[in-house]
This record gives sequence, C-alpha cells and structure tokens, in this order.
Amino acid sequence: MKGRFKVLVLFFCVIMSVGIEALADRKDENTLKERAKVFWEARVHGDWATVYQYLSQKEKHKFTQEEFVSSRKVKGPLRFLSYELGGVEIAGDLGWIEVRYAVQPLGYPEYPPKQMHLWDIWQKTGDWYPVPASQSADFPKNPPQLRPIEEEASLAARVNGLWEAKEKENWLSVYQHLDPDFKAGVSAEEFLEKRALYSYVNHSVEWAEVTGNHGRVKVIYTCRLKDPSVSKLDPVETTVVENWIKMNNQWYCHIRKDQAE
Amino acid sequence: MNGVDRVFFWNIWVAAAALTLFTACAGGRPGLTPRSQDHPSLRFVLAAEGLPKQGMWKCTPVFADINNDGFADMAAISRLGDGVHVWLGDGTGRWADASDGLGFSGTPCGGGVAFGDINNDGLLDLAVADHCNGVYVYLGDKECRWKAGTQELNPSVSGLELLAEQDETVEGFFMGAEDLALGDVNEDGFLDLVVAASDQGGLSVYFGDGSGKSWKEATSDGLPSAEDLEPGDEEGGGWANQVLLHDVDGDGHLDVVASYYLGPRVWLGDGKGLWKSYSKGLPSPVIGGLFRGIAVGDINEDGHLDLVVANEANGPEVYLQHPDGFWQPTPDIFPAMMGGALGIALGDLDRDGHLDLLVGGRRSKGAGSNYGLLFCQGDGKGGWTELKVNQLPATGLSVTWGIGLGDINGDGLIDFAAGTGGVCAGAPARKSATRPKIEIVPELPLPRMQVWVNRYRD
Repeated sequence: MKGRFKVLVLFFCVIMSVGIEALADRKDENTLKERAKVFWEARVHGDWATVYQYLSQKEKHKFTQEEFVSSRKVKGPLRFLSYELGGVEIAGDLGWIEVRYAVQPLGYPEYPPKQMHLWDIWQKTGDWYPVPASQSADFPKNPPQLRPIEEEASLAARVNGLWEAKEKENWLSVYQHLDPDFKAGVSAEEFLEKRALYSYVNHSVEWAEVTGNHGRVKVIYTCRLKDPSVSKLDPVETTVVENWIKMNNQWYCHIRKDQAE
Repeated sequence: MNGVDRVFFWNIWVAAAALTLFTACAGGRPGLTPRSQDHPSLRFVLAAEGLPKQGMWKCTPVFADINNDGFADMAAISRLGDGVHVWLGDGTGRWADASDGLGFSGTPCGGGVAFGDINNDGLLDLAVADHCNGVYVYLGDKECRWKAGTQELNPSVSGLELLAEQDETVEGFFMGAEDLALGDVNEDGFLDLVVAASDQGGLSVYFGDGSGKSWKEATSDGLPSAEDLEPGDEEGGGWANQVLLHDVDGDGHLDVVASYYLGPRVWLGDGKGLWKSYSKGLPSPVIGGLFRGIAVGDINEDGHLDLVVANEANGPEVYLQHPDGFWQPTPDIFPAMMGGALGIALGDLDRDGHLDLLVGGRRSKGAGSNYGLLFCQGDGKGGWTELKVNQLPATGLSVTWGIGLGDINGDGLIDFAAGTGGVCAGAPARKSATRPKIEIVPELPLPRMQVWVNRYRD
C-alpha cells in the first residue's frame, strides 16, 4: 500500500511539473506577444522613443534616444503603415513572432506600400528584445515548428562529422564533406597537400536550419594557430554560420568560390 | 573567414615545420629546464631620480658618456609624449635632462635611438628613428645641446614611388622608422645608418659623409625593400621592430640583425654596402611582427655569435649559430613565461663569465600591468635558469618595450635601463566557459623610465 502511494505521489509530481512548465511557456509567449505588440504599435505610430527602449544595450551605446528619434523621424528609412501579429513560438531564450506589415520609404508617399511577412526573431536577455537586423543571420530564420526536425538532425550529424574530422586532422574525411563543385576544382591529392593553419580543439553545433536543399548551421568552435612560434597562445573561441547544400541525398559544406581561392 | 577557409589556407608553413623538427631534435640538452630560485648575490637598486615617472617609453634606451665625465648618459624616445630625451647621469642614479634642441614637429610615436660621432668632431651625436616621423639626426655640442642635422629622413619613402606605380590606392602610405643602427657599413670611415621602416619599406641603408646632414641611400643592396621583397613577403617590404649591427660571421664586416616582421633575420655585409641573407633555420611564423627585441652574443661560448629574440607570444627564443652557416633553435628557454616578451638584453650581469638574459615580459597571461623584469642565468653552454633577483619587479609593470645595458657608475658591473609604459590589455569583454577568470594586475608605483643599478656582492 505504501509503495502504491509513493507511485501515485510521483505520478502527481510529474504531471504537476509538466503542467507548470507548460504554464510558464504560455506565460512567456504572452509576455513576448505583449512586448512585440508595444514595439510594433510604436513603429507604426512613429513613437521612436518607445522603439529605442527595445534596442539592445550595444545599439543604445551607439546613439542617444534623442539622436535615434531624430534620425528615424528625418531619415527613416522606413515608414511602418500597419502590422498584424500572428503565431508565437519560443525555444529556449529565442522567440519567433509572426508579423505581417506594410512599409513605405519615408518621404515617398507616392511609392506603393510593400506588404511584408516574416517571423520576427526576439531574444530573452532579462526581458524580450528584438534581434537587430545585423545579427539576424546568427539565428534560424523560422521557428522550430516550421522546420523539418529530422532533416535538421541529419544535417547536424553531418556537420558534427566534418568538425570531428577537423579535430582529428582527418583531412581526407574533411574533403569528403565539401561540396562536389569545390571538389571538381580541387582534387583530394591537391587538398591533402595543403597544411592547416589552425588545429581545432572542440566544437558545438548550436543549431541547424533546413530550407529545401539549403542548410544553415551555427557552429561555435575553439581553435589555435598551428605554429610552434605561438604555441603559448590560448585557443580562441569563434562562431561561424556555415552554408550547406544537399546533393544526391547527402549534405555537403558549401564553399563559395572566393573562399576556395 | 570561416573555419573551412582556414583549412584551405594556402600558405605552407615549411619553416614552422622545420622549427618543430629542430626543436624536437634539440631535445634533451642539459640545463634547459629553468627553475625559479633566488640569486644569492645579484640585486638591483632603482636609480631613476630625474627620469620621467609617466609616459610610454616605447624604445630600447641606450647609454653613452656624452659629456666625458666617466659616467653613462642615456637617451630614449617616448610615444605620444614629448618625444626624444637625453639625460646626463652623475653615476649616483641621478639624471639631468639634456634635451635642448631635440624634438620634431609631428607627434612622436616611439622607435629607436643610437649614439655615435656621426660628424667626426669628437662629440657624440644622436640618431633617432620615430615610428611616425622618420629619421632625425641631432649633432651634439660641448654643452650637450643638440642641433638637427637631418630631419624626416623616411625609409619608407624610398619604396613609395614604386608602390605608387603598382597601386594607385597607395595614398596614405605610412611613413616612419621603427628603429635604426649606426655603423660604418661601407668602411669609408663615416658612420652610416641602417634604418627599419615602420610599416612598409623594409630596411634602408643611408651612407654618411661625415657631416650628419647628407646621406646617400643605397639601392639594390640585398636588404629587403619595397623594390626587392623577401620570398613570402606580402607586405611590400615590411618593417623591423629592432635592428642591430654586429659582425655575426666574424669576417670583419658589420652584418645586419633584425627582428624583421617575417621573423628574426640576419644579412651578412661585405664591407662595401652589399648584403646577403643568412637566416637559414630562423622561424617564419604565421603572425607578422611577432618578434620585438633582439640581442646578439656568444651564448654557448663556441666562438660563434648567437641570437636571442623576444617573441611576443612565447617569450625569449635562442638561436645558436652553427659553424655550417645556419641557426639552430634551442628548446623553450623560459617555459614559465606564458605571456610573451618584448624587451630583451644579453650580458654577464652576475659576473660568472657567462652571458645572462634580461627579459621584459609576462610570466602570466593575466591582464593589466603584468609585465616584469626577469632574469635568466646562462651557463655558457646554452642552458638557462630563471632566478629571482632581489628588487626587480617580476610583475606590476606596464609594457616593457626595451632593455638597454650599460655601466652607469663605472664600477664594472652591468646596469640596465628599461623603457616601459602604455596601455596594457584589460580583461576580455566576452565571457566564455572555457576562459578562466583573469586577474587584472595593478601597476607598481615605479617610474615608467627606469634605470636599475647592479649591486652584485660576492
């Protein structure tokens, strides 16, 4: 009887914790939606002082509120005419909120308004703040629910394979992960003759996003210069967003022509 | 540049691989693991009364007796301060400024200084290399005043015309001189200037005519320049942080030794003003300008001059001159130095008959004023022992740019000056789980321009 009671208590606790988590997520979604609403209302009404409050600390250091308001009123560059918020999704400290809005270049009333649709990316740093356009490439464009989870897991595994090969200095394996267009121009023999400038210590795949046959992957890795003259320098942590392509049912790291040169 | 780019980096670091091989081959040499213990007899006392307490003395100070009173006087140049200075020493550690007539119109940026009787009048003159303003020559008089004989002689300008032809966007080309050395390289009886550019331009030689006012620039002489690049040189001639003149190969002619931006380098002179590369075995790191101070001496007492050079990442490095004409790296002589070195000097400071090493560098990678003056005792065989020396700060200094040796009081012991100052690295702004917490070392209340008197006692 005692044992059965314990099982019941445990079951109740699990149910409660799941419920509490779900409630917290819902609360977070509501908070994000509320903040997004204030932000977009301010944009549409030209209330740039309020918009300024939603800038990251880094951006706020670039200009004062007065400078920002004045610049937006005079230079624009955009006039937000209307907006409509849609779904919200949260994953960790990232949030996506669907926005449909209309914009027009400031000072060109004759220019036909442009209808836009995007998943606006927000990040929770204490409170929720919109990710600046300049940093949006560091995050997945779409929320997880719109993305092919299995395909992204497959891509992430392939990316891990490349970075593990780098760490083990298995350059033939690295070569095999590179896109066929690159390999058509550089043979494996030529590739293996090159010497790596860095040795790679460790890595983590932060996220992978798949859109059709195109993948974007954010990797944080640590490397050090492979040179005895600087052997005492600490390894350096670096972030990269890589482009991958799927060809013949396999993912390959895409090398731009200028990178290959 | 992303990670994949880096894999595809096309440069092949043959020299780096060779260095690894040499290092591995040279393993197991005796006495190469420094210990940290107190030196029983060596101590230094600060003798800096009258020297500047502030400033960024970005140079290697030099000593010479310019007023013939038997005591060493000193010259140094600062960055962003009031530039070049001469101080007269009285042998007791007091210094009187004697800079009347020195200076130039532009903002000083630091560089190098050298004493020599350039106009053959029996009085010492002063040649100055300034990072931003080029080369100046000041002629000294009996009252220890100075008069500019040469102004704005810019080594980089020598390559400017050619570079401008190659690339119209060369506008804004940086002019200046990082360091210089004085010596009669063409053996005509007059001192000549060997000047290191501060950016592009390589090394330039100016033949003196004994006036201190007129110089003839050498061309196609075998030294790297904008017109005559060294293999692997992608910087149009590059710069050198320090340049010296020594008879490295013992043929009676002066040779050029430089901490060139591609790595430490030696060029043998023929006594007529022509030079030949003599750098086999010296490193070519992936980072340009990694080496700062450089010094020459017979470290292993085999009759051949050797090199020691300050690596800003790894600390001091020794290259022994092999009789067959190449440089043999030794294993890390200062493994405990984790934050790199800038200033360096070789001399028998503890009177044991063997060359010792003074290093201005960082034992730790901490931030702030974590530079110090560190002593490595040489054993005359190429082995070193790091010893703590009473009074010398092992940390707590801002950047230790250069160390110059001299006997300031005529007691036969080697004293030294250290040019320090400047902004030290702060704590990294970015947090990282892999990066340990960094301590910020405060600066000790010592003058930025320092002279330390050797008080060795048996």
